[in-house]
Amino acid sequence: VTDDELQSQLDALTTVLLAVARGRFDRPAPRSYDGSAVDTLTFLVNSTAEEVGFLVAELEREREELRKAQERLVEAAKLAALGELAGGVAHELNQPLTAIRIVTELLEDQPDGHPADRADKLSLIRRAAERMSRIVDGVRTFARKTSFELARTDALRPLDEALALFAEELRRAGIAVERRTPGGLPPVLADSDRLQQVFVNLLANARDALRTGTSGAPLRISLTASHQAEVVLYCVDDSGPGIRPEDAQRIFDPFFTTKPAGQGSGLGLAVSLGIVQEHGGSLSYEALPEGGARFIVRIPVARDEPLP
Amino acid sequence: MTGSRTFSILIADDDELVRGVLTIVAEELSDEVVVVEGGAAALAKLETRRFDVLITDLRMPGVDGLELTRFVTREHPHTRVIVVTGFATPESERAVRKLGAELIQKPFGARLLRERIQSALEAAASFRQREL
Repeated sequence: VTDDELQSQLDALTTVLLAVARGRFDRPAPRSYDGSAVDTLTFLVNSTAEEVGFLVAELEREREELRKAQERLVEAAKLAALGELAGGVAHELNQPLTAIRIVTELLEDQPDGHPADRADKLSLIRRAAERMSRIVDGVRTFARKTSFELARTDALRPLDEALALFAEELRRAGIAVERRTPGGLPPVLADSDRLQQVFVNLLANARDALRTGTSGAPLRISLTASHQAEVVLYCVDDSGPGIRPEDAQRIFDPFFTTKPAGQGSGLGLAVSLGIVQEHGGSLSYEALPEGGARFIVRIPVARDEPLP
Repeated sequence: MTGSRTFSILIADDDELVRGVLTIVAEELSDEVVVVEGGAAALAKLETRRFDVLITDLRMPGVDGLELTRFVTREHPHTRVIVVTGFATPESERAVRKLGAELIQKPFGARLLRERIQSALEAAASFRQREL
């Protein structure tokens, strides 16, 4: 084999390997079948390229199957959430519905009851119906797919507006609010009204947790905001009893509530989680070492978009 | 059932509205109806005295209806238990029935409830007769 021939065969092998690097496995180098070391090398390179081609195709098929399986899982999760929702709605509606059915039959069985007694029973029916309306409203809010208007928003605005709604009530309930929010936070990319709703829900939960007033500990809600990498991180802490570990996994489930019947829809955290996720952020819970609850909201920082 | 008027009924439900209507029906059938807001309060009552019939919700925060039913069947076997529920899983439904308690699915009307309380009171009456 002359040097020139050797060079051209090595060039051919280089071409095969470069093609492999670009994802083409069907470009074998021509062989001389002369029993030379270079021909053996060519055979090895060609068959290796072919084998790699098979493996890559196999890998792609498997990746596609995995993607389809993931899609099915997401669908299944959606269905499970729907089932959860339906079960919760059934349970919530059943309470006032039972009251209505019982009282209606009582009225039917005593058509000539005392007027005052009849008025009491009718008022029970009205209260039950009102409660059913509230449940239906809650479901509607939960199900509604409103379009989000994400805009560059002052990071503290949604928090402050939510706090303004509660300030007087918290003051009267003897709950102290500590607000530790540094200046110079970057603006967030948010729908201010929707994010405000998240903080309203978290503040309402904190207030309710403190209302259960277990220990003699001071009633306190702490709000903090800080800038961490690509997000603004908000913490809503309360000095209440915290959430029982067995309940903590379920607090974001629709209709899960630890509040007394008729007082909590069980939708606040589920709705809040949905809103935060629509922002590309996250909502999580942590037990505070000293016993209270901490809810953490992470909202992405706004980039480049000019202020409206 | 005139004899039932001396029989006692304990009602445990965390829902104020449901508690109210259960009480109206129970008071038609017994002069001694005690109403509490949850499982823990019911346990506290049961520590101090006996009841002929317990009507309890299944899903309650803290001590739930199933736990309460377990306690009652163990400690007060003479007490008839009626569990009312808005949403029972097949497992909890089986568990309730296995304990020998009556299960009523919400929503239900006054007539069905009255009928179930009456049978429970009758069972309590025959238990008392056997006791004598």
